[in-house]
Amino acid sequence: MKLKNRAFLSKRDGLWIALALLAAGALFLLGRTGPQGQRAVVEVDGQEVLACSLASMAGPEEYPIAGAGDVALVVEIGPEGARVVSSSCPDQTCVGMGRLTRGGDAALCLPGRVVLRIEGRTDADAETY
Amino acid sequence: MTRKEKTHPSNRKARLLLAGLFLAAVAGKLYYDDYMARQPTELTAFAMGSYVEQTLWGPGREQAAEEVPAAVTELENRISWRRGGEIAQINQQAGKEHVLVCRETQSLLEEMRALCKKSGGALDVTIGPVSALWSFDDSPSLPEPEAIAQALPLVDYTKLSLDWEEVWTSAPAQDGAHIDGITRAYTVQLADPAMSLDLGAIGKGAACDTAIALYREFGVTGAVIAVGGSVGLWGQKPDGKPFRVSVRDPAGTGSLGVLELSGGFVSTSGSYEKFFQQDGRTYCHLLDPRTGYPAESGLVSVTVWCPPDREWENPGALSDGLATACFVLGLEDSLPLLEAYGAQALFVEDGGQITLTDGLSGRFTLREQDPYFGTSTYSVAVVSLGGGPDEA
Amino acid sequence: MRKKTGALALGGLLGALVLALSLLEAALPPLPGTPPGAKLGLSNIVVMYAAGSLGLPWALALVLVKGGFALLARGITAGLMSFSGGLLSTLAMWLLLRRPGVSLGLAGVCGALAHNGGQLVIAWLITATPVTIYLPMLGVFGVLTGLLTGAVLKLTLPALERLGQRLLP
Repeated sequence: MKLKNRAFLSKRDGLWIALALLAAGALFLLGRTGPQGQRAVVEVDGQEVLACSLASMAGPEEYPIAGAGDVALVVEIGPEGARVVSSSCPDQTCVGMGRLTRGGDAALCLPGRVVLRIEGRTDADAETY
Repeated sequence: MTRKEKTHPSNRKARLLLAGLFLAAVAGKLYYDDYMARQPTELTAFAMGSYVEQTLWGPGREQAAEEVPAAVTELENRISWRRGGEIAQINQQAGKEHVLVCRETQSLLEEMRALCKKSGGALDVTIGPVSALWSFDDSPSLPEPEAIAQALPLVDYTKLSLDWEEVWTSAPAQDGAHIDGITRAYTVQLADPAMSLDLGAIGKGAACDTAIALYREFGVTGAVIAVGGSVGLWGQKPDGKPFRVSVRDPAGTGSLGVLELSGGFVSTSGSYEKFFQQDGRTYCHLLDPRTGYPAESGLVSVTVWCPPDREWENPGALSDGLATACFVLGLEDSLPLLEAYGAQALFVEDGGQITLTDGLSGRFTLREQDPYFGTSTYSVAVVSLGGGPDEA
Repeated sequence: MRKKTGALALGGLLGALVLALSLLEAALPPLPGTPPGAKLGLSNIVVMYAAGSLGLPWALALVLVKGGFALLARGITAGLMSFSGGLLSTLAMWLLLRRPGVSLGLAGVCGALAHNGGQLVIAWLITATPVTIYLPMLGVFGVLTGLLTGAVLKLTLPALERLGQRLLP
């Protein structure tokens, strides 16, 4: 059929498109029921160098992180949370923070200027400690 | 196109769709722009050896947020004894010459000295000689009793003198003449050569003051700044709800509960932050200036809230200093001090008891405790400050 | 002889049009919520015309032009994305337009969805990140851009047909 004789949108085709939109909507809603998009984020000197969605991980994985100066860290990120496994920094406070599980939890390595934190719902505007 | 083709229903449909898409795009862009303008600006940075986190709303927030880290670093250079600024110079010139300082430093030292006095020495900015003996970082060191005994007499805020002179200034005017005026030159001096200032107990709170001053200057309508564990609250959040400040659970990294505050400044002093253990004893970094040793007052942490819109020029530094002083004084002796400053506090004692001053009792929500997983359970009590604070 | 130069001229014109439209839509700012690289599909108007009126070889040639330009100008990733998206969408549109009852709007939508799908697959292969979160947004976006493509083609069809007829009698 010659192109110019075609309609822009027939009723039947319009129905197909409506169906496609519904499918997209359903996919969207389905995606929301999973774990609420908690991510583990690693920042060095304020720059994000690593971000993982905790829910999408099958098991814990280790990642090497190069901090500021000569500080080298290993972080472990998995479905149960994130933690700093080891660090070459003198303080070791970051390792001592243990496993981070809740939105807003963070482990800081000040000498390496590295931040490992869990992004997610935290309903406080700030934390005092 | 021919006239017939132009009005063909299919072409009409096409045109209608395009028009619809265009309108939707315009509307979408307008809504998006409005949405973005209402979003907070969030910025985290490192300054003063801590994590500086900011959240700001309102016009001017981008520029204000960007200026803060540099301003905090400038403050640190000025007031840290480790740098080369005014405080370091005062220490260097102790017992010799007086040092000229800027108005901001003078105001800070004046208010902190008054706090030292009101706290009966539980906070003392001249604690330098003693704090230099202790180390809580990589290689912890327990000083010899003789060294502490020698350094202790040098800790004396009454020997810190703050003065000012009126000086004639002469500034050149445009027409070649001079404009004469009088300004104040502020001077600071320590009486004894071995004395030194250490403002470590109030630095982070002072950094919050610096940030809030910038927010005021840039016309920011609402902001939250956290420098380490000191928090400054400015203006209003867009939804008008109170600011929510989580208090860390001393037993771990979780939250003890949330404080809902209208504004002001919050600081916490806790023994869990920095400490070391030696020969079976625990030594925390919060030193008692009267003994030279870590304070042991039965407290694990104190959180102090300085409500907004008071007459203090450095309310952030004040909240930080009060937190340290209250930790040293212990619960009972802190109460008159808090009342004198119109401040409120939350105390966490060794045994797991939380005590709130009455100004905070309606503002604190304890986080749900989970005995099954072994998190400690806390009980909450309220204590009255006597005079009763103004509603803030 | 005349037929060959006519074909060459048409090819050149259409190719230039494809590239011009590509550049135009690249200059527009990316929409929030869509993955980077999601485009309006303006150049698809020309490809759809070719697939429907001139035949599959013409359409594939245009895909080659567009993909080649992306490869040279923006690098191998962009080139791969353009080729995979272009191939899938051209095939989809050509297959659909062979059937007489299919409207331009539907062909456009399927072309756009196929285009996004092809690009998503490449993105997934290269970065190994979970790209499924983009599916709903791309679905809606694909429908809208597909309808846009179909609508513009419907309205510009007479002009394009005249061009084709004059250069390829």
